[in-house]
Amino acid sequence: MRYVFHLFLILAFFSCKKDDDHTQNPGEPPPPPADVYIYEPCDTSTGVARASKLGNAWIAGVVLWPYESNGINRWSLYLTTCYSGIYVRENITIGGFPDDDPKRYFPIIYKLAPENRDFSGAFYSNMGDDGDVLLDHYRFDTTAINTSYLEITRWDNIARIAEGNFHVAFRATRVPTSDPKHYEFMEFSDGRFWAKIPE
Amino acid sequence: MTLNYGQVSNLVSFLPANSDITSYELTTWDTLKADPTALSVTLIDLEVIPANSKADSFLFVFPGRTDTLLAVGQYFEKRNDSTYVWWGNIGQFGDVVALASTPGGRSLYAKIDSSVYFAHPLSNRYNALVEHRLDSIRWNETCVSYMEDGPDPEACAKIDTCKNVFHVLVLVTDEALEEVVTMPVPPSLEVHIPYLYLQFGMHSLNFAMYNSGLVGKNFRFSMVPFDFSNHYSNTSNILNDLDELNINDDVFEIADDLRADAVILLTDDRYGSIAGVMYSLAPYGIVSANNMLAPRYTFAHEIGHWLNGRHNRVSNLGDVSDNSGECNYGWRKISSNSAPDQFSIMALMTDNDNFRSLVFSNPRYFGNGFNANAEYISTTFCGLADEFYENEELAISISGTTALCDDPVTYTINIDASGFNVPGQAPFTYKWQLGSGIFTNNPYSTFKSYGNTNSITINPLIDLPQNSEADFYLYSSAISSDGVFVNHILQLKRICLPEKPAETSSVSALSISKVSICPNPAKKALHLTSLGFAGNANYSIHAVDGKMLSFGHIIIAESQPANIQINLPNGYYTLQISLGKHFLSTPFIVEN
Repeated sequence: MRYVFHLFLILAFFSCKKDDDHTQNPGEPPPPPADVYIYEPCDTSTGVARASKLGNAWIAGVVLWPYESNGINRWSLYLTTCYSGIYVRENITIGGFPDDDPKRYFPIIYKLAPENRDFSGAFYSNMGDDGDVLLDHYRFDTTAINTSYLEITRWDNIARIAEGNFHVAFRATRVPTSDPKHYEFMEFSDGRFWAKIPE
Repeated sequence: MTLNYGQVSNLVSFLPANSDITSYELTTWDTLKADPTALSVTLIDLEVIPANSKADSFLFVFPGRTDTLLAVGQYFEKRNDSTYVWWGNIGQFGDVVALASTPGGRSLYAKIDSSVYFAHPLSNRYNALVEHRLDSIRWNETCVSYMEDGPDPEACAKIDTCKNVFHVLVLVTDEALEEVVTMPVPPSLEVHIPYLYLQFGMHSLNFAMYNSGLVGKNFRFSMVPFDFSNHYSNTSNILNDLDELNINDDVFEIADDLRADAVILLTDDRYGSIAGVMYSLAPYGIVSANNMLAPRYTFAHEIGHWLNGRHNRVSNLGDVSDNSGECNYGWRKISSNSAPDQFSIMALMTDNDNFRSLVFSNPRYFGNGFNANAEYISTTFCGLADEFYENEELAISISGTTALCDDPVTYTINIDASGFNVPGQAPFTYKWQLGSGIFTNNPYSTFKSYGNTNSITINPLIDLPQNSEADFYLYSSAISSDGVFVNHILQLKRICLPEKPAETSSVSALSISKVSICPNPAKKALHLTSLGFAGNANYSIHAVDGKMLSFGHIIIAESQPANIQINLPNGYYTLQISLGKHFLSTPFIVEN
């Protein structure tokens, strides 16, 4: 047990070091503004995610979604916030990790190739009306390729529970965006989640 | 290709015995039947199809053929909401007739000998420029009061000049076709039915706009097969797929070639509860083919989002009280204690038992006798970047005064011919119809055919009712040899009634060609020039709501223009001049 605790500290240290490196990198985008929309999480019965959205506490509902691509069974994480409980306002999709080897660290890349098993893709969307209007769409920010990741720390096929961490930065595909608070650059840092693994 | 001429008749004896058809409805069909020169089944009111019809068989007669339609059943009916589409096949040739009856209107679709007939004034092969009802649109209110979350008020000034035909490229995937063939159909229909279904889904948009009183805002569609699977993420995430669609080079090339204004990808129900999505910053959307018709009309709904249509006024939630003074948006849920909830095309679907009516606007709210929501939508739509290609799209206009008194007036269709090798080639065939109403909900609408020449003369004493000052609508259609259908609608104002027998004087309309005003738009003064008329005249200037703003006397002489000083804010007005027994009413614009 003591060994495990020390290992945890080591991992935590490296994790923090990673963030420290991130903030000190002169090539990184400037500090983000804090004035953003914060919505309530959508359905949290299948999972919850917490992160810092440009410095603001952010909570989302989580759904693990299985899909098949190029003969590989994969999973995606859907992180959603809502207005009035049901009208989707934000969606973060982080996905592509393989079903047969999910518990590990996946760097996030711009676009997931069909045969790829070691990376994850991600994008972010702002929605309007009852969730059927795409206001702004964001792709993974390629300047953050060294800092964006998804890490699955627990994949319990018996308890049907998954847990993990994430850090991802996005850049809008169209500028100007539909709303001044939908900044061209968006970042979700210090993210962690749990989610039920569907049967 | 020349259109085959279609005619629908003999319905009476084949109508269901328990139908509640009235004599009026039968008359409507008789009108169609009595028109042996009909070029297509168009501009007709299909009220004859009862909303709850369970007919097993109708008989349609097309030239050279008489076949009893064999019902393949009511299908596509998702709810017990009086909305259905009935399909039939004709004989063994694989031709199809489809009847649609919805709370918002009826329509007929027929595919006969490779020709397509669509019983709706807005054909799928047309370009149209139609005039707005300048005197019925409450310009100031529309532009100031209702624009809080709408387009730039400058769009209001463009409402009568903006281009009105939007071309939607519809990318049809194999999944979409497979999804809508979920019912047993004869083998001969397996190919046709999905496309017919999709056609109906697309045209539900035009139905909704027509039913909402939208004059001059029309859609046409191009259907192109498209391979979905090779281009997209396979994550079953509609947002990512929409983004991929938006940046897809193949899609861009197709849209560019066809000069489409918007792109909709039709796919299946792979996105679960999301039946469709539209990109707000680009004219791209994805719609589940399974939801194109009732009860959701998702295709029309998502296009409505592209048109800047919102679910309701400010919040994105819930109902908005039916208070015309507070909000006259149409796209919202309408509740009443005495009637079931109604939903317009843009309303939120908050309950699976709900269904949308095929209207964009609030069917219960009428401002100043007209549907104010239609005004809002019309204004909103003007903000879209519809590309009209002057030399490549067919357009028509009607020349002739809009003011009718008791003198006969001649109207002529002017065709702005399309360019070389572009659909819309001469020779053209013409069709005229005169109606007292423009909307399907007007039960007193009557249509009269005026033959197939490009020039007609309307004699108010013969052709119009003698006791009504109601406005009339003159419909003109031109059909090119290659099947392009062009519509134009002109509103005619009845500025005076015919002379009563006991009276000794008469009033006749001065035509614009005899008295002209300039400049138009005007700033501080109007200059009147006459040809053949002179004397002391009275004039009055009216706002669009009919309110008289000023009046006075002028001397009209042939040799010298008469001046009327005006000091009016920017807007649309009507100048009325009475000179002896003659009367002129003409709109003008003030732009300071």
